[in-house]
Amino acid sequence: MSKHRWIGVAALAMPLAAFASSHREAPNISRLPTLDATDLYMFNSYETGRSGYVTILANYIPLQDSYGGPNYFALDPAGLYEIHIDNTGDAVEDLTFQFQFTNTLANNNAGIALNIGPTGNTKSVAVPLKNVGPISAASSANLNFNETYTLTLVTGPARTGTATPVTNATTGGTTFTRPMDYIGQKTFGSDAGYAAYAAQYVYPVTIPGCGSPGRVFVGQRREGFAVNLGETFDLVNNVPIEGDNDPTYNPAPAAPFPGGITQNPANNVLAGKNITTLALEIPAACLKGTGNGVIGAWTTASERQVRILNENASFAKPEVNGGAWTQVSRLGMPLVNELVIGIPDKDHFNSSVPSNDAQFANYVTNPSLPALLNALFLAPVNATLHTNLANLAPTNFPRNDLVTAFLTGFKGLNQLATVTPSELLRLNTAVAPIPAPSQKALGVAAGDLAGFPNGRRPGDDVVDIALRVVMGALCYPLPIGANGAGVNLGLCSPADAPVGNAAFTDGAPVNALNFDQTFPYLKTPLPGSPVGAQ
Amino acid sequence: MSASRSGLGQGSEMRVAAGRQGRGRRGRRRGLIAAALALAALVGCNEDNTVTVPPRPAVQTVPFSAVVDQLFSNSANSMPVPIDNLDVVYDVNEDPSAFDALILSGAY
Repeated sequence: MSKHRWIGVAALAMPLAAFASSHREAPNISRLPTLDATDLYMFNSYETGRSGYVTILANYIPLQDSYGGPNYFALDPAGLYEIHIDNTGDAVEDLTFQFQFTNTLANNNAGIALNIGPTGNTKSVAVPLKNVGPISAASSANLNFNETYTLTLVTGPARTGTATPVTNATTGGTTFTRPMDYIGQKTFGSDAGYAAYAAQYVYPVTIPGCGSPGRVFVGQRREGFAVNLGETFDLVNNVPIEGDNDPTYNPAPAAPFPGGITQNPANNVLAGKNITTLALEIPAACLKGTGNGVIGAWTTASERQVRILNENASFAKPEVNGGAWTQVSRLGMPLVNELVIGIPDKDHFNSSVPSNDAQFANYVTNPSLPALLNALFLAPVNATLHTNLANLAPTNFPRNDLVTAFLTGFKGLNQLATVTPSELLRLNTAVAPIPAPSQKALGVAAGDLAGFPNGRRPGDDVVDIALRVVMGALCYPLPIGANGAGVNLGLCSPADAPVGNAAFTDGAPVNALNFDQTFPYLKTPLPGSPVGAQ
Repeated sequence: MSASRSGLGQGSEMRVAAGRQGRGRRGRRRGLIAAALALAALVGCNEDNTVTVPPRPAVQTVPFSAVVDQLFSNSANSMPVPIDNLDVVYDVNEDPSAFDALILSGAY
């Protein structure tokens, strides 16, 4: 093993960042879980027969335990959930899809009631549960709680543009139903029973100004983000470099690191969680506008600026809300608000807009995390390895490699026609999708140009990609040339990043075959019961 | 239960009386609040989207109830009002019914 390899390994005992994509990433949003955006995916649809479409998945409400009854995980009826698209490059939305939810109880909000008491002297008493019997694709009559939503397309800036309802392409209606969460197998019969029940709420939709219909679905799904979360938070309580010749994460002839973590699905502690997904599938032609075919996306959640709690709270009116929509959550690229933005600005970032991202530039050009790690561990590493390295962290300042990855996109791949440095998830809609079995979890870094950071697919291992990029992977050639030949991006050099070629990993593997291959791709959620089914 | 919470008896009459006496002050107060909120709204961006950091406006002391009234009157699609430079005086402490009129109005 080369000396640089050992250095990379020794550096692993560092307190790296909290790689939880965007789950509870900022102090204030952790108080508002129903508005907390956790992951955003955007990719050219790879479902058979859906080429020419773009799928966008915005996940909310982190770390759902499937047994979280009796109320489970409704979205916030006072919130505004949005998916924004910039197709020109000015970092201002050209299209915005707005979701707003309404919760109602059965019987005109009175709820299902039972007659309780002796014959002739019964009292009608409302039940405390969200269902009073089995639910199936054929019947939701036993459902006591209903969640519906409207979907609106705003053309132009989200607050001043033209708003038009998205309609059901079959019925013309403007109200859609979100299926009840997966309470358990007794309620829904089986996983297949829940899947069939939920599938009927995948709607074909007519999108204003778009000649072909799209699809929408909102509902609970199994968490797709994979991360070794607990050990990462615990001062990286493992050796996060590949300890094997895993064909995806450290293919031979690279040397495995003795004692390094190896790929094991058990390392993904989120595998037992559910999530709530807002899913859209839109014809690419209706998203890319007059730009160069690259689109940038981000999702936000907002509340009205003022909320007054009702001292006599009821189901229908626990509060009143008024004033301007005020943004509390924002997510484009994964891991930015966790890995890059400092704690004092995390909630500020959540309330900000991409066109003002210049205010966060220092976090990217001069990231604090590598410097901190270097200060903490350079001496121990040199002492351990009997080396005299000047730095472990990349030394190219400004970090143009990170600016490219996070703020501008890569020219010729996922850079918009006009370059406005801003934190967006950028997708080139002209890059042909790759079928799931052929996708590479390390995306572009592994030569798969249809993967992250050219958009993001469910099977892209963004944790490992981000680990490697932060430590300088872009300073080394990427296998994106003909027949996998290495291409030097010219952003920095290997001399700038002494550990930039190490096979960093959290040992929590993910790939496209972990997911469905049809819309909405994320799998049927885990059931709340029986015990052990989680 | 407090008199103000029940809305009955002497306490209620006292509140009405205080309200009559306070109308003039309330009008002036609303003007000050509007000015304070407008001043706060000036902190932001230029048309070219560059961020400016203007001199920190003087802190404005305003009653919480008036801030709520003012912000509630803003439309959903208006810009949120910065509140960094508002020193809020909580004039409705221990009075959970202070906003009952707003809650019961059905407007929100």
